[in-house]
Amino acid sequence: MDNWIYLFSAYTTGWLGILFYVFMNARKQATIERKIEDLESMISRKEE
Amino acid sequence: MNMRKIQMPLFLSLLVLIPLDFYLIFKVAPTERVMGDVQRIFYFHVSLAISSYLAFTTVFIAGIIYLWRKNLFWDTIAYSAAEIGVLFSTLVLITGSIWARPIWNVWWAWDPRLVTMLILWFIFVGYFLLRNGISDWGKRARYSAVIGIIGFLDIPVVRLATKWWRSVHPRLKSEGGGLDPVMLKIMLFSMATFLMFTVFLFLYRYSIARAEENLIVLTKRLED
Repeated sequence: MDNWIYLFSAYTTGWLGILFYVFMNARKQATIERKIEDLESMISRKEE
Repeated sequence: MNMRKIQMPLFLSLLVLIPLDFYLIFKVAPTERVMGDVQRIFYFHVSLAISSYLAFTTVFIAGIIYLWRKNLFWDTIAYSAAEIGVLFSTLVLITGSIWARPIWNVWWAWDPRLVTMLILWFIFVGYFLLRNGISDWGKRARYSAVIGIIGFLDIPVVRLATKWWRSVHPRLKSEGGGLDPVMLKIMLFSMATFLMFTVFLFLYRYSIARAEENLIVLTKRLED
């Protein structure tokens, strides 16, 4: 297989880039969901 | 609309389609005569490019509807799609550069196709810089819609750059030749898989964007 390093690099970089994006969004989602839960409990306590 | 009801079947289909796509690219697709195995980057590179066009087209449509209806829902749609577009266009530039090195012997050439694609990338990076700099929701949405529409207008220029100007970038349909039928079928399969993946990523990003907005609303409610 000629120039395999370029073929390997292109696919690896591409998919790692996509996985990194998904990972960052998953972290963001987890943080937001946690904050929403905290805020909802604070609001319900305030309303009581 | 329950996002998970659409996302789950898409996710399950992609679990089958992506490995199948890899199999077709690396095992079934014939080796190109001149470039050799490195040409297999083509299936990934072109699919990413077409998917980024789809994402930017969504930004364009959502931008027009936002300017018409002034509903922030369309702004959320637009910036969720713009983020996917920027991700994919970044990867188009990177994979293209890696492909260019063994074929053209350079990492980058000031070729019309490459330059117009880079301009498209800069426009949408600018789109996010602008969004981060404006705190007023309405103003931010309006300016973003205008930049999104202008950015989209570069896509036909990217596509036609190899026709309009002298270019070394390969064309999908070249005169008197064209793709091998097996390569073409695999290319179309790759594109379809990636378009599905784009829709999946978009729905995922959109659900996070809605959660972010919900968080802002709750924070304001608590402050009042």
